[in-house]
Amino acid sequence: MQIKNILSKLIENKKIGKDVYLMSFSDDYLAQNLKSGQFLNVWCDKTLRRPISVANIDKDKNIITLIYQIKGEGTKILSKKKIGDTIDVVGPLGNGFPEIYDKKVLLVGGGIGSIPLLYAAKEIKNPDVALGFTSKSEIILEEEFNLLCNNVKIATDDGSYGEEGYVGRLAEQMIEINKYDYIFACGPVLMMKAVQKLAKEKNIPIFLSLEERMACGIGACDGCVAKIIENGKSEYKRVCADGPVFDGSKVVL
Amino acid sequence: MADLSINLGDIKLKNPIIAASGCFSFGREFDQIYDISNLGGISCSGITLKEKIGNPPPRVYETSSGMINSVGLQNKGIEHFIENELPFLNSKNLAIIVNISGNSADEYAELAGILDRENIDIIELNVSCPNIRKGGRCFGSSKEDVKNILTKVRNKTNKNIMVKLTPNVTDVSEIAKCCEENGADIISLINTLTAMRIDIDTFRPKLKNNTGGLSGPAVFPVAVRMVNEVYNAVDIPVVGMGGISKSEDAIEMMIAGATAVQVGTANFIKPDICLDIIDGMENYLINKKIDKISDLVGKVKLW
Repeated sequence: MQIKNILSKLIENKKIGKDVYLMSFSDDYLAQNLKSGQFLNVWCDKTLRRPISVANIDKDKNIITLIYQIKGEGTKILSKKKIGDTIDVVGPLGNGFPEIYDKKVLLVGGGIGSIPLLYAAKEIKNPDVALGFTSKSEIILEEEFNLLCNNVKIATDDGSYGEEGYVGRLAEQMIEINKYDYIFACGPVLMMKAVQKLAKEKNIPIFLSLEERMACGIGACDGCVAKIIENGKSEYKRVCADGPVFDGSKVVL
Repeated sequence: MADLSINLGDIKLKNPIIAASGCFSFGREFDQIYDISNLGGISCSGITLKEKIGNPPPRVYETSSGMINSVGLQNKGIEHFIENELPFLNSKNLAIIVNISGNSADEYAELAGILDRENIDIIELNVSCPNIRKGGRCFGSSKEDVKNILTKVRNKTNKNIMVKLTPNVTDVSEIAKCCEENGADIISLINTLTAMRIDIDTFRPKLKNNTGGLSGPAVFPVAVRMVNEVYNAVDIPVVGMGGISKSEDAIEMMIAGATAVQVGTANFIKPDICLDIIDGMENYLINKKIDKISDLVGKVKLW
């Protein structure tokens, strides 16, 4: 799909959680062509754009929704933008989740890693969802996932909401009860490591969405890489262009 | 009609804008966004004799008006380039500059010998990559090393040789003069400035390689000064780079002494920035009633 530099106007940019914001804008081309797991490289008045994954698309109204966490200066500037302000994005970028619509999928998200899974939940037929957050105050998107999926479970590290403990353990419990054809996961490295190990033990194909600091975002600078083992050989692959979604069995975390 | 064409060695470029090495891969990705035949040239991503895996991530970090990187010359080697990337570039209408790095003078010579047989325009010797070092420094900071490399490379090729210089030296014009005396056709500068950032919570450097090269608008004033110094020191053409991100910057760099310019980090800010720069240069010539962009080269009136 052709990569384009697109300008649009913000329809909304609102706080939906602790330091987490939701922004949306309209664009026909992106709305019709973006897939779950793909991302946009968003201009925020700094040298480098910020890669932000697609959280939702309304294909009827051609509206794209991005959800992001304030992590530094760039995302802080982005959070201050107002309705009607210009948004400047490059995309569609990256390889998203595999287009598996008739299989039973378990989505495992940790913290803001839950965001790219939301649009995957919309594209896949009723996946099961396990989300983990450090505490009740950090929980995002619970309602949104519940609207799309029948079986959404939440774990918090401190037990202030849902199951107490890590989301990896929650995922393990769900795998004991249900049979899954695939696992899609996104989140902190330690969480993805645990889920990767679990998938290997249970022999379930897994896809991981990785995050890395990026420069060009289109595959031209080799700035963002992850170590991938393929055919016994380890090499650095570009998270922006070869990923961000990789076959989880090949990723060295 | 304003004339944007310039000559580098015996190569004519339709305009002075060259995509800089390391920021543009081999052109395919940006060609999805616009036809790269609009550019004067492309300096390909750095190539070595054998495949290089590159440095562990994180490799990039944004800084004030710039970024630091330590990619570490990740590439699949010269043979892969010739088989898989060069045919695409040959299908395009722009000057092809191949940026090469070696671990020894003999490796640079071997690479140049291989490229001598190919349909390319200029060989750019990267003697200045801050992320690849032998004994704690790069070849480009030593006149003896530069002379040794150039002598061996000159023996192997009649292609135009461009030497890319590091700003991380006391006197860049000394190195430039040494290049000119030993057969270089063109000088390009500046490569990135060696830099470092540290996380104050973890006490860890932001880059896994600890240090990296600073690029982007932050380095532009340094680049203008160094291009002017080298322009005043040598008679061969100078290609200026370092933080150019708008047409005014490219024009300023040419007035400082650059015959052509390379644009790197700015491609990340706006993927078709090179087209904007070319348009802006053309408008400048028209507004100023200047016939040829080459008339600007080195026209700075020093106080």
